[in-house]
Amino acid sequence: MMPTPTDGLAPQGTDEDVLLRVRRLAMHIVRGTEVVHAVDGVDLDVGRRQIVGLVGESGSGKTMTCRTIMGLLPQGGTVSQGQILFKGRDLLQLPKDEIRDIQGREIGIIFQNPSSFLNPVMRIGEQIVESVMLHQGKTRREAKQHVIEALLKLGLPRAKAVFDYYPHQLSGGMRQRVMIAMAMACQPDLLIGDECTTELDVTTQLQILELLKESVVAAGSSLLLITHNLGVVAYMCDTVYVMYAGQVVEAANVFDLFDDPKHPYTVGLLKSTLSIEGGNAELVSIKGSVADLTDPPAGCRFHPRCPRAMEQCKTTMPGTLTVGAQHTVSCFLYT
Amino acid sequence: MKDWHFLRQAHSLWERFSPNRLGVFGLVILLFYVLIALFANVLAIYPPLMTGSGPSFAGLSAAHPFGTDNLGRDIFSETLYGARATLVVSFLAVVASTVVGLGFGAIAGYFGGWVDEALMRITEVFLVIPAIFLALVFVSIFGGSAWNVVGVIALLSWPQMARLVRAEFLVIKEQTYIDAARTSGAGNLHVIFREILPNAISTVIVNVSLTQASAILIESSLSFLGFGDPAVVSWGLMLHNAQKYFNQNWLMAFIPGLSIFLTVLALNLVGEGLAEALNPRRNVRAASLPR
Amino acid sequence: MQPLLDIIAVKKSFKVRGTGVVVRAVDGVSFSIGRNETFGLAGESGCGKTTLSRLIMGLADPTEGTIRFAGNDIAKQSPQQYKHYRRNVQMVFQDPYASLNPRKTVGESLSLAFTVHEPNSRESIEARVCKLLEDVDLRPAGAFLSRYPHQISGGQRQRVAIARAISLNPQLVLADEAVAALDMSIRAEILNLLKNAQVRTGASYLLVSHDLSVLRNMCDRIGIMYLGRLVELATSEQLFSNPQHPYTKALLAATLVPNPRIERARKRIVLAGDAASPVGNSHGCRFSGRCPIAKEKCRQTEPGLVDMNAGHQVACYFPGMA
Repeated sequence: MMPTPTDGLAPQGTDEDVLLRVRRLAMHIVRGTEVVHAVDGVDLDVGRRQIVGLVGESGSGKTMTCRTIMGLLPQGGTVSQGQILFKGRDLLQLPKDEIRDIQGREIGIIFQNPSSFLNPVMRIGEQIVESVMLHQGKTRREAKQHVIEALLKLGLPRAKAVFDYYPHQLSGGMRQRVMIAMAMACQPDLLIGDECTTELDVTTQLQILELLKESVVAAGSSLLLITHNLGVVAYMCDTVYVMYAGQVVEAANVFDLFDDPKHPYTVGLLKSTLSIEGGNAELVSIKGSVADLTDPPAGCRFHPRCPRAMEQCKTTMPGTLTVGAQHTVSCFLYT
Repeated sequence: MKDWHFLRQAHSLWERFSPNRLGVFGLVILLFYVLIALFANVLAIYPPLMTGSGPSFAGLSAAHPFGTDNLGRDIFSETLYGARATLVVSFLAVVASTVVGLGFGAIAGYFGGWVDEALMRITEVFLVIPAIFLALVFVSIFGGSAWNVVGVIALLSWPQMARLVRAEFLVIKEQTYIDAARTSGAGNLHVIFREILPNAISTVIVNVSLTQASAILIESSLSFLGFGDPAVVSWGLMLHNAQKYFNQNWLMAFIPGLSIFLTVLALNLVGEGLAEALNPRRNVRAASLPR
Repeated sequence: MQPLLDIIAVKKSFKVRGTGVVVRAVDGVSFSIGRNETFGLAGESGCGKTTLSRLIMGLADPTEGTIRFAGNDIAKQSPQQYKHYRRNVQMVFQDPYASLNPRKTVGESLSLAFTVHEPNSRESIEARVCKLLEDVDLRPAGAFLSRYPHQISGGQRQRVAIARAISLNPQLVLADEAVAALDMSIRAEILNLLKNAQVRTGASYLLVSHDLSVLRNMCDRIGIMYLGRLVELATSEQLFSNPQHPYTKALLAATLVPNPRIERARKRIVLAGDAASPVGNSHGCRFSGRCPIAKEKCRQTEPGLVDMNAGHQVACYFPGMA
């Protein structure tokens, strides 16, 4: 199939059908005299009831993309271009109070480190109840009931007791469950998990991932998972976006991405990832180091490390090409 | 490998300090007074404590830019020489208290246990003594001289430095790189001086500046109250003399008072500027890019 | 043949200040590491592997039991034996930033070991440090000598940490989560570095990790720890192809494979609850609270580590049944 230029992953419907549609998003951070091009032209789609993975290593821009979508820009950060269409409405154009409303009710986030998100001097139950009361207009009694039920469903059997605990009395896994409870409390249409299982033990991570899957399916929500762990992606996601140096280099449904990776970075990443299925073969790695976002290489950001770099790659930025059903890649090898 | 180390570090410190306008302002004032103190004998018109250099309470003139005091001493010259005493006395006191405080704090923080307990109890004793009382005791036993003032100030200042250093040592010794140094075979002395101390030094430097400010205040207070050395001009002594004559020549009190105010302010500004500049969190550079 | 490192019934407990609660971080661990062997120690948080690492490094003393290095009890060594031990047992720490003194240049950090152990060598320290930097692929070596930790990347810092560990050709290198803080594409590089260093020096390695995929490629034998004890001990081959302990199976099931077809076809074992805290006085198997096949017997008495066949040891009354 001849690859065709396109903008973004093949559109799955009108702007309203697609829950989240990000187009040409760019964000930079000014730090003193340096400018960090953290997000540099990102296209992303999350459909209804989909689990989408945004995968990349450090410096890839995946967390910054997530933060930009949530409106949580770091100090010195500005969005320089692009659209973030949530249910057809551009979040970048809405007034602040409307955005806050959407963020509280229709989009939920679960962060990597629940300790920094939970108020250490406030009881767990109180924190969730406040959120529920605010966004669902329930009375305190109703909200408390709702929260206790939610905690029970999330696998915290002594929910009534836990309700009165302080964050430090809970383990990491339990705190993450509380975060999920808070995020799901208002039945959001989109749940965003920002490296939310990175700090957990693997057995706890599995519990949390199962929980996320169940919650999201039960509520009919979509899940956007930001992670560097390809195992998590393989297990959870329907669609995957691979990021490098602030850009999306490849996007595909999960089976196609792992069976037939197109972009040399994706290929290198998959080859260098350790697995319990691996044998004693020599481990392969990607040579060189991550692109400096304050001074990115000209042309294709990956060319200094690419085993298949061509002359073109050093001067021109490749556009996004469709190479299969729902499979796009940003690389000159496929023109 | 060691050459230019110090210069490089000094240069990078300046780079981080200079954007802080207030800090630089403070530094300028400080340098101004240091220069005055250094060249007092060149800049002054009359030698120190020279009575009768002019009529009492003379007005402002070329010979007496700030007028004279009750005994005809030139206020301008007195202020210049006073800078010397104030700065030197406070500086010596700070040096002494820093050395003692560092010693106590490092040993207490590093070894912990009963050593820590014992040293901290001693420190607390000195923390609790009120300044005036100590000065009184000192002066009555040893008489009032500039050296005794240095001693009193040092005795009052070292406990704070000790506590600070101890806190730093307690935290730093738990760091992984200390474990790493030990597994490489480093002994206690190396760990204290070459591993921990360089990491604690920035806090110490900031505290030295602040301690100096407080030392000047203590010195001035002691001299003002009459516990200082009457034979050595200091701003505190000038204030002491000025108490009764405010109506005749208010500059007698104002000039030394202003000088004390400015130097203390300058030291505080420099101290805060250093704290900002030495803050490791501002040092995050290429190594950690945003995700 | 005398093992290089012999851990014999080692226990380590901590008293929590103020409450009198006792935490039994390491609760009776025994295994040995031979020469030129790579041993993996796996387990999740609270299993005691980091405490055990510190005991082996001599950074803390065991409450009970003995640790022998080259036949000598490390708690009772003569000054000469101690020097030999210090020189021959080195560690690569987890956090590449925290393990390098931020106020020392790379050159200074790497010189320490030479200054302490080989001060009278003819070759200059600088020359030896340069050679060391080249051995870990940090070129040009001269440029790295004067760099500070914050001026180099995480992967580079870890190389420096490895350089420090191997600088005196120790007989045993302990790597505690040496790649956990690094990006995926860099982990392979670092592990290759460790492998090559081992081939060159014939050292033994003790790799501690919570991630079995890291250990898969590197280890000859692996021990699985849970709440202070070894629950399974086997060769790498035995462990991955025929895990016996229910916890090992759960741990493997939770170590996600980066391949959706394989991963989604695998058997799901999701454990209930969190790892119980290592406090308290239960008599039975410490895993019985979460074990999918726990029986009454398991809750009564703790099973010991039993050799099943060809050196494959399991601490379970019903191995292979999960």
